[in-house]
Amino acid sequence: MENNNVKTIRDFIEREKKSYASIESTVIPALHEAEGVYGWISPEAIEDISNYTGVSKAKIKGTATFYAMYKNKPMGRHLIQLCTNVVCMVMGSESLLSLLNERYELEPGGMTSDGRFSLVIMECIGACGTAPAMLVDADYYDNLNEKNIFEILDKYQ
Amino acid sequence: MITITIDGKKVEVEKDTTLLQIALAKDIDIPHLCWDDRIRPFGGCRLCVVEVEGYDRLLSACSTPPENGMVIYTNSEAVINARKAVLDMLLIHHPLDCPVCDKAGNCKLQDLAYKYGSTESAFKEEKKHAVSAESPFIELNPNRCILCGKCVRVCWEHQGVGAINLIDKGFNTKISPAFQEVLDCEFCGQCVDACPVGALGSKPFKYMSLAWFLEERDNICPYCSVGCTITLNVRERRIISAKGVKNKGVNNGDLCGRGRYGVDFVYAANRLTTPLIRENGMLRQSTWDEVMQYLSIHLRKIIKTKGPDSIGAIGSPRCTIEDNYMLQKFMRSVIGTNNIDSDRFGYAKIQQAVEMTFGLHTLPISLNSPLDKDVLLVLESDITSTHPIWGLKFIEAVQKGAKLIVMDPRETKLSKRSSKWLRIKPGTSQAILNGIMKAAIDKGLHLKNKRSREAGNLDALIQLLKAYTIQQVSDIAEICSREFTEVIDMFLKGERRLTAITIGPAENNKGLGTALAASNMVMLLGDGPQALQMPATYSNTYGMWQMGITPDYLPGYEKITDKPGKNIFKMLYEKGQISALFIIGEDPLITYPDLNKLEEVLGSLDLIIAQDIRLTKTAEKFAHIVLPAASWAEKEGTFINAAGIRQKVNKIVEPATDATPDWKIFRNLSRAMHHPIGMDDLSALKEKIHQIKLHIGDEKWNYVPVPYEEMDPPDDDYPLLMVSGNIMQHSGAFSVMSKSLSHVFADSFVQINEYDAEFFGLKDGDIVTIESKRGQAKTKVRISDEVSRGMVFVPLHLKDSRMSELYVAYEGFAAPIIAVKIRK
Repeated sequence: MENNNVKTIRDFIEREKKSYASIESTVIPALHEAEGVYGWISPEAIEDISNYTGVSKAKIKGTATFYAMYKNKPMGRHLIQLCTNVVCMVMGSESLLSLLNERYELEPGGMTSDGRFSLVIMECIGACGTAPAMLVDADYYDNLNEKNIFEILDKYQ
Repeated sequence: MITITIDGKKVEVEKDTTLLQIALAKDIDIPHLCWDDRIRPFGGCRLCVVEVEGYDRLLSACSTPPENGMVIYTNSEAVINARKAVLDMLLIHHPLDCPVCDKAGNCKLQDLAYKYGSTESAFKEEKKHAVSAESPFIELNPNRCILCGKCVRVCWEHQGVGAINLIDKGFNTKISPAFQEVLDCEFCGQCVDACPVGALGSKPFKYMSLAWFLEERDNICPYCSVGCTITLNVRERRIISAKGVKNKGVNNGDLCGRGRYGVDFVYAANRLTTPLIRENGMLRQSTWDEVMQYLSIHLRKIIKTKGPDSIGAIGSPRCTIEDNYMLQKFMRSVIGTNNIDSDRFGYAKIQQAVEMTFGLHTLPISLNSPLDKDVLLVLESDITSTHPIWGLKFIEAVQKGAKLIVMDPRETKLSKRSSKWLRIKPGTSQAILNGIMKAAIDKGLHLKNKRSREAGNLDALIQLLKAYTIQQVSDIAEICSREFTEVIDMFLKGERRLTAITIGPAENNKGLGTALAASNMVMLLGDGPQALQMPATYSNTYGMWQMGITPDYLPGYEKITDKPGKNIFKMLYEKGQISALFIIGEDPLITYPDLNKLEEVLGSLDLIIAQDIRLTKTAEKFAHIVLPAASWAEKEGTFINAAGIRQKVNKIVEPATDATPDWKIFRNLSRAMHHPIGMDDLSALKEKIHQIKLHIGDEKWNYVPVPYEEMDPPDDDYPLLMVSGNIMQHSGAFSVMSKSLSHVFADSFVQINEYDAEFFGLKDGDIVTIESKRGQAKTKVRISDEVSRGMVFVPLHLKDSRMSELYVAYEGFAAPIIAVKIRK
């Protein structure tokens, strides 16, 4: 009664564990893999990793919540990471935030009700010269303004 | 050895230690919250910091090893200031709700705040308001937590569970299980003892008393044969709670859930407080005078008319050696019979095997035996449930690099920690052992010493083993032959091997044949009896055997050659063998097999005397006289643990009303029968026991080849094999009396694999009938992948089920597993 998600994670762990001195060390890469499979570190993801590494669920949950960049709650299909550090803020990222809120009812740390976008505020990505800037999933965009930000986001359904 | 200077004193120390351990050994107090000698140093709480010359920062003593010539100051101004600063931080979030905290009086943070003079933090910050998880035994209070992580590491590193962790980070960090609603673990409570503050507590004892009102009294745990020292917290002559204290006892402060939460059986509602006598079919309250007179008249009458051998007795592995000695003395001297036996369905098989193969009358285990081995073989034994604290040594051995091989159809804590786990068919351990021996012979790895070559019956053994090739054994055990070959190689390659088997009365997956095969193996490989660890079951099973509670041995294992008595199979399962029966501390109707036969025989007896701490089912239904015995915490005496160590049992509280220590009941009864047997007080009795000479037997090896067979092979009508055993929280008589333990697992249940459940159309929680060729019982289904296909598992001893009706009282070599069918 094994589904595809479980199989992917099991195979990943079987493959990865050869590269590490202890099975506990595979937990961190396995969390990345599981995040890809389930979209976030869901209880199922933790169960799967626990089953195939023998590390307890509490240990895995503790590890996942210790590192800020694991998605510890359900995420939308696309992740918008908008910079609001000083330069981006001066160049208008604050108003972009309120526009996102108006159009999608999207708050920092939140998700749209249709599950399309999640939004997080990110620290400086070193694009001060072309501020404001953001990442959508792994794609990088700069020189954002009230118009082009929606043209960009329309590409992500 | 190297030399270091602590606070101006030169000391010689070992290299392989830490500054904290050196200081503690020299009675230098270095405060510490997160350190524990059972787990790796963590260096998290920063209270153990010390000043070391040559370093411009303070070092944590718990994680710093000594170096030659090191000069250390444990109490300098810099150190004290640093500790004050750390305490200041800890007190930011700690709620200071000491007046309502059970830990008050035993709280390290409280002590340190008092010592270093700060009760409130200089920092102002909102206290925490985290929600805690639910659990039947363990009370989590994350708001009091100081995040030292000791409980987390004890649970994972030492206990091998990992049920809790520090979840989230920074100010939001809290102690919690993975998914925060419920804490579902084995409830050993080790985290509660580990917690330096009041963040983890015991729910059954919540708000019963602040720690500083409690008086601590040590006793030996009444449950399994490890013989842990438990510290009882007593207030106003009542046992409130139990805990383990570091450096105390064979357990060094470790305790399992039974020991920690199960001692409240002393106050169970069904405790007997007065003698009872049956009148017009009903038991009514009586007095000691009345029952003693009744017994004196009736016992003498039976001796006169039917002879002394028409009276029998069953002793108890839960009673002290003093109680058991007096029982056999009473039976042998006053009554005049050797009809004395005990629960013969468990440890008796080990006793028998040890005598048949090694020529020894007893074989104690060694509690530290797993630690110096490089390969450990555990056969169908859930050691962390039956002997939890001994089981921890296996986990420790694995952490130290030993290979652990587990052969078991059930998933256990040890199988999860094993290097190799083969899910063999239930009851096939004996075939596995034969297979290992055959492989050793084929590889020429057998007969490694003189004793193994000279042991009797070698040719017969070699002849028998011809039928146990890897392929044949793999077919019997339904495992993959390639994996079996791997396991055999792993085991035979070991230089220091250990094989462990438990055979308790509730465990039916091993038989006399299994114990014999294991004994044959350790002889054939030349490892000898010490490489085979088969522990006694209950707190005084070992002592009971030493006291001669058996039809063919006197105290001290002195063999009776002329006229041995009748054993339990004769007395309880053959009609007409006896007409009166003394039952001490046992409840045959609940724990003995073949209920229908048993009820028939018990119903035919003229006189049944049940002596117990509670009104047993057997007493309720059949006893003519019921005698109230004092419980374990209400009398003095001695237990002998599985390692043969004698430990004193202390009287902690006064007996329940008229309850009397068992040994005293026999003394009084012999007086009432005008046949006093001396030993008028406990010290005279102890002196008598002290003088017993132990005949442990001359070690002379002898192979006993036994072919593997199934007692009750499954067929189309009865397709499932039913395995019984103990679970972590219950081991029988006492645990079902405990209110706390019964809170978690009160009802009986049967575990079945999800494939089989689907095949038989069963859902979790269904009430089903299990039927064997002998009887049937109703119970609840629990679907679980802990059991493999083709088998079911039932924990025995849980009250209100007639599981034992399904079993047969069996004296042969095979494992007494029975075939059953299951239906809604």
